[in-house]
Amino acid sequence: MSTLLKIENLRVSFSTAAGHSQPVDGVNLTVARGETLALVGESGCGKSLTSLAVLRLLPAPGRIDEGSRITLGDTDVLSLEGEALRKIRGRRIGMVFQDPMTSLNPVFTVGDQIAEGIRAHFPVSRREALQRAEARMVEVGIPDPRERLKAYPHQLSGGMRQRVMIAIALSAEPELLIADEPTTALDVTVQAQILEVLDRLRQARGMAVLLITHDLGIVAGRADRVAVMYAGRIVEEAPTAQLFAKPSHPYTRGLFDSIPRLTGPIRPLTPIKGMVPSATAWPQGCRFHPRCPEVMPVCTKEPPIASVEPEHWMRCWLGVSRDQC
Amino acid sequence: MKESVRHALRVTWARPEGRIGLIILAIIIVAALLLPPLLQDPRAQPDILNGSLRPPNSSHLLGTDHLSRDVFSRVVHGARVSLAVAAGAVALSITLGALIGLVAGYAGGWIDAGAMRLVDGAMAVPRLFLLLLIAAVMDHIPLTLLILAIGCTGWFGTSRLVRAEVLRIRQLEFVRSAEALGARRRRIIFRHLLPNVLGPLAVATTLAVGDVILLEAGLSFLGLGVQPPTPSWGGMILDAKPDIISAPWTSLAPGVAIVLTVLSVNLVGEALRDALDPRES
Repeated sequence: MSTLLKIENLRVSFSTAAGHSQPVDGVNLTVARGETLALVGESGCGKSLTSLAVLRLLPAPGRIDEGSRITLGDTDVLSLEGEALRKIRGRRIGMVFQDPMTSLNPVFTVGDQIAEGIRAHFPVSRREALQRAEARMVEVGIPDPRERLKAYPHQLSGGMRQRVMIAIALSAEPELLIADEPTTALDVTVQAQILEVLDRLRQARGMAVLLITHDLGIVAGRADRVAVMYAGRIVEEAPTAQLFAKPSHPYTRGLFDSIPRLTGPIRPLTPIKGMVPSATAWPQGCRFHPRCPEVMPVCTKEPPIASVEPEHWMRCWLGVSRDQC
Repeated sequence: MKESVRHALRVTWARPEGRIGLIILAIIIVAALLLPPLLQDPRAQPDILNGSLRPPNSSHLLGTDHLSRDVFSRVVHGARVSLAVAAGAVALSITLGALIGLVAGYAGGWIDAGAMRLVDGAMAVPRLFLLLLIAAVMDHIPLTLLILAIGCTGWFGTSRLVRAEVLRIRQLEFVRSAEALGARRRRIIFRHLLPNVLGPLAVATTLAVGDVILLEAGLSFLGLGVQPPTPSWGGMILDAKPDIISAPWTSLAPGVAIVLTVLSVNLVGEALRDALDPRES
């Protein structure tokens, strides 16, 4: 499979009078055509900023630092400006935002909002765009699409609105769909349906999906690979089955231990102690060491990238010391 | 857009203050548009032989003024001038203010900084003095120039207001979402930002209408606005000044007209603000 999106050494910083922060600090990621990569991490770990950086939509005063590279196919995304940048937004990369309640403009019909993406990239009439919008609504499984075209966002349920959001993201037929916590605001039953829709579309269109979530539960069975992010960096990356079989970084294991299990002996959940550190002052060395149950003296030094098994690596001293023992 | 105007009218009508405002405003506008051909010439002095300053009677509903002219006819004709000036000047100032506020708020950076410093400077100059300056240079102010001058000096506050709203709205997810979709700037400004500032803009418009009617009356009262013999409310009050005790109807009639117009417009604005708020309804 060929590489579609390649993020190299992405660093995002915010400089204000109050100080400097580095919420994304050296992220490397690749997404192949047609695959689903899940980016997993707690709130505040920088996963949403990573996705916004790909679209160059960082909120002010955030900026992408020198030395970062984002390549989409053959396009150097960070060198684009103005019209060239607009032409990849929506057209090559579609984005589904977290909250369908606030991501739709309350004053326009959903048909108009889906048509907006079509008309931003194709020279078609309003009528033609609305026809295509209807086709998109069929694709994402909205019943009565012709009627629903004329509905306003507040007339639809949360699940329907999220389907509309996906239809909007799909409107210009992008190669990559970034879904930022697409199911967080929804009921559990609706979550499964939405993920189903995403997966079906990926297969039907050969589209790549970057699925951003804090929920390891929705990753299983949906993603080809998983990257675990902590404090502005990727700490572990593996094909999904391997990560679930052998979570290796103490942070990843902590995430798994925080999930209630339906099988096996009943035991109390063990949440990860403490909170994600602030991006204004990351801990020295391994950023997880202040919360890590297996912390060692060496952890205050920058941890190396250690291979766990083929295609499975982590950023942790444990990988090294285990080899040496 | 036609749909939303109808919607706004319906919701305005549904509120008591909006209904009262709409009724008064409608009466004033209809009277200004339809009545003049049925009335006496506002410059005519039909009963000059019976003397001037006659109190209200059957042939002169609101009496006559010091030149024996029919006060009712003059108030109605004055409404045309006042409403035309208000409509023209406010349309101009609101359009300018909205455009500049939208662009400055959305573009940010030096465009925003430049526009807002300009506004800071302009707001430090009293509007009446600017108009007095024009009047001093031109001897008097022709009606079209009056509209232009009031319009071009009235947008500062509006642009501030709109810019502040835009700064808030552009942070909202749906604007981010439209940007992520590759929507063009012009489209984001006019389709996503503008409809969501219509509420505050409606209030600004009604306040501006009230302001402009008072400003035009004030200028005419100072003898610098609409020139005699064209009747205007401010001019009528100026004419009536010596007779304010002996013949109060001559100043009360235009005064009440000004108060009713401004009041009704403000009532409509109050109701309209609630009606156009996209977060309600």
